Amino acid sequence: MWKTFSKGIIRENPVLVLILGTCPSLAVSSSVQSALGMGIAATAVLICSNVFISALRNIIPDKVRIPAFIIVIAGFVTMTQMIVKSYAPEIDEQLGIFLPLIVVNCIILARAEMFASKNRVLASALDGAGMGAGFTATLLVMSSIRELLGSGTWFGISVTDRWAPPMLIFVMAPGGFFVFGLLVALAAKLSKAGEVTPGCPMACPGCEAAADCEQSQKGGDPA
Amino acid sequence: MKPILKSPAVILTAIALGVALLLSLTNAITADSIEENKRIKADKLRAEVLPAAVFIVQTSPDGIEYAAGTDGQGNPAGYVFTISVPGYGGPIEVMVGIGTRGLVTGVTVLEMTETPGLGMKAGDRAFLDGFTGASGSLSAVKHKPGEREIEAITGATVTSNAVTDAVNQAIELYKEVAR
Repeated sequence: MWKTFSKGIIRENPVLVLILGTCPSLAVSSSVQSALGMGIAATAVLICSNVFISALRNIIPDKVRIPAFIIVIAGFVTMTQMIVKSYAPEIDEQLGIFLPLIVVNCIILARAEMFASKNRVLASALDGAGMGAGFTATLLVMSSIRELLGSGTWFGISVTDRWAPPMLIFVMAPGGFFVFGLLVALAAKLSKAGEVTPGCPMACPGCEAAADCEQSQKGGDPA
Repeated sequence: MKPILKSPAVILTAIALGVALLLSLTNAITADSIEENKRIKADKLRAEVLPAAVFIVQTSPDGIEYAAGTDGQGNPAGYVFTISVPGYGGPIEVMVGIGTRGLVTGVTVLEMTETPGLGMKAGDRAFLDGFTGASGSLSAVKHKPGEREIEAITGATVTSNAVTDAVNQAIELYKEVAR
């Protein structure tokens, strides 16, 4: 159970290990506030769509599963957008186009296809929460580095700009890629992505399904 | 024979209908406050560029939307124009307030995608306050500004010219509207 949740944080971190959702990660991580808003919005959509799709997994025919997933995901994203616009218009302004674009955030479709459509509702909710936590945590780390170095502030509070001029490149696209690359390397080190799951006949380095695979070898339901 | 209820088309339609139902429910709950938020935001922005209590949105003969401001007792306070001009990194949307005497009362940038640290400074008061009290045809200059001149942002000539152009357009519109 705990593993279903925790694998999303480092071992199968959606951004740094699975390399999904790179576009919104680079786009909104120039400030901590927008990163946090994006993380929470995407996590909400992720949990809702995972639960919904898992509940319907025996009804949705294989042939039309992708359109069915996209309808569900787009529905939840639009609902989230309406709620954010209604109760937190400032966050809506900061996220701009990236809020409706959660629809095409690969993390959400990937979890629907790889996990929610094959697992029970509770496990899918935990998987969504874990992946969302991993996404949010990554965005927070990335945006903290970029905002501190690039603007000299953290969460809009002035930190270093009195004694060091900010390095503008960090809030621009090249700085985003630079920080992203460093974090991918760090996550690979922490998650031991180069190693092969013991006993697995497929020796794929950085196997995406390592956590589920280990459990299925023990003879249990991946849930 | 496969029962018709289990055909992919029927199930996909059912899912789409279910999601549409949820969406219309959410819309029913949030629509009013979204409209209200939009109105509050627009009025707040207008009040930044023109000291007026009430704004009435109108349309000019050329089809351009603008807001006429009054002091709350029906006395006209001026007009607020929203102008979009091409900037360095995309369109810049500028809101310009012009008082009853034809002088600029305030300028603010609503939307822009300029270079952070350079063109983005067009949103700073240090630059925008240079327009306050101006009238006639303005130009952005790199030296100390004189009559009808605005001090350009260092390293962002295109952006400075774009915002100045937007203010000039607003002044032209004012002449048409206030006649």
